[in-house]
Amino acid sequence: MVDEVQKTIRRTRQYWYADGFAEITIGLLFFVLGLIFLGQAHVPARSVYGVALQLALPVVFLLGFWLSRHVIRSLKERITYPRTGYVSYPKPSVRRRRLALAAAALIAVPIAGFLARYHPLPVNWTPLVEGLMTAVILILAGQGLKRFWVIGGFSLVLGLGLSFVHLENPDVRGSAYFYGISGLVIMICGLLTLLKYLRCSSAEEHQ
Amino acid sequence: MNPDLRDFAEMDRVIHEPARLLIVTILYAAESVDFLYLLRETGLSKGNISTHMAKLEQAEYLVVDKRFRGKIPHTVYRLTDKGRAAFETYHRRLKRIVDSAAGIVKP
Repeated sequence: MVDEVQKTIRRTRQYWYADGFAEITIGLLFFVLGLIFLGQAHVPARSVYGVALQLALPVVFLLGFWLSRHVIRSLKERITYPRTGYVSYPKPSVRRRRLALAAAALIAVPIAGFLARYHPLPVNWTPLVEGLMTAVILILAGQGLKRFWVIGGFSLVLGLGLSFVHLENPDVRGSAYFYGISGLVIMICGLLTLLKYLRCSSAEEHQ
Repeated sequence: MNPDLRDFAEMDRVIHEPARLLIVTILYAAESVDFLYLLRETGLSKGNISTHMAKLEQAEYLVVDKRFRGKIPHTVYRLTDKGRAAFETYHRRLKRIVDSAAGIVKP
């Protein structure tokens, strides 16, 4: 019975991801970031385009994350809530936010220390760190859903793989390939989830 | 009285009913939930849900917010602080009883 209570709590929290919109939106954002990095790799850093792309990066990153929540909510209002019901979630508590910050510091500090101690590394560490951070965030945010473990694992393997590939302008190209490929994979995962959700929910409606 | 028996005796009867326990657990995991979601998740009938909701509302464990989405009525439920605390106490007691039965809790 206690297990059933825990399962019900978990299932209710997982409902946020039932339609795949979160993955589609975040995947799209990653893909756009990948395109910006790729643009940076193709234009001189000090040209007008180069400076514009450098400025665009933090703007797209911050604005994208802020917008994504609104986009997801708007899509859910139109598609998910009328089909399978509305659920809103409490904002994370101060304790939870502090725990998340502590976890991020726990990962970032040893990495920074390692990089400072062994700089320059024989491998391109940028995609490796990006892969590790993406994997941790996906797994923590995924509320125990298997597909988040899979795409988190994929991000880690992709980052690790790219760190060993010899690339021209390795930092920028490494990030471009990492965000481009992982964004595409996350988006595809979200689209498949959405298709499954639409099929299941319309079948329920017919019943 | 034996502390384990006291836990049995003090179980909240409003929450203890299986259907209401399911409803309260769902509401506990979220901030607010609408009627359609509860209908799908619990598998209960509309009338059944309404009856249980009335009991929970009577115990001041939840508040009902009736809105309109366009022209369609939209009923949203939210646990009150009292309801949240009652569920936490209930869950703690239930866990203690289960642990005790499994012999995990040493006297």
